[in-house]
Amino acid sequence: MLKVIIILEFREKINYFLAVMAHLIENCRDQNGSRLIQQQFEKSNEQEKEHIFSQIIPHAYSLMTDVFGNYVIQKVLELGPVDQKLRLFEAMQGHIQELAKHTYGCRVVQRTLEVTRFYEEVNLFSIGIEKQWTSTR
Amino acid sequence: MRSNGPAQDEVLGEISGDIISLIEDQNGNHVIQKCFETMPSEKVQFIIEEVTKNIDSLAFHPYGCRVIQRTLEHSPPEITAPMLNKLMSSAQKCCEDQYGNYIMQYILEKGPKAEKITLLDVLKNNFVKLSMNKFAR
Repeated sequence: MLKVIIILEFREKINYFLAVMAHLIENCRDQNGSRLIQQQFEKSNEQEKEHIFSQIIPHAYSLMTDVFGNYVIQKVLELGPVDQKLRLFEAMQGHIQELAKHTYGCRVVQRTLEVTRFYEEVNLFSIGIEKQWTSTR
Repeated sequence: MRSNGPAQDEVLGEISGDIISLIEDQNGNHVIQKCFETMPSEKVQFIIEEVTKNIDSLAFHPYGCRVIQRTLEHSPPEITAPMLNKLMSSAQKCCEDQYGNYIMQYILEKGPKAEKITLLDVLKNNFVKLSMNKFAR
């Protein structure tokens, strides 16, 4: 009996995921839909994240400037793998100035600065270690 | 980002042509403030110089005064010295201003000792006049 329930729950989850995915971009631009996708992204594995991301990326810029879509982009910047962050950043390049002045876009730029801070620090750190390393040799 | 340092440099590069209009923008000023929060002060030094050049208008601007406070908060005194000098030369006017007074309050609370003393002198010499001002009291 327990097995059946687990299978049913599993099927429900799959169906739910598919339903959200079927109208992903519309959902991103919707108050509840955006929240659902953020939650979905949080608990997704690498493969599912890639699936979600591949649909988002062609609409990246317009989602950045959307009242609810910008939160989805921020979520990817926070929790996505490095290459997804990088590709989002590529979508921003050349538009930073207008994004920075945009009501919702400015939040995405700020989030970018926050998440890149970590990489900058890692970079500085590794440069430091490299210098020490080469000076000891 | 995979390319590390360049991500923040790219953002700085794109906004560098139009710093002042970003500071005076209701959304852009947050991005500039975030730059101060997330980047080492060498990187944002050109912003500080730009702000110092325009200090007479920015100190009396609703967003400008916030950016100036953020600068003083995050950058070492040797970098902010020219800015502080300029601020001190118009200290009395700042104290009486609806926005400038916040900068003066910040310096009184957390600023370098020399500036505190200068400021206290200004306050002492204009005590009665300032205490009757809406923003200086």
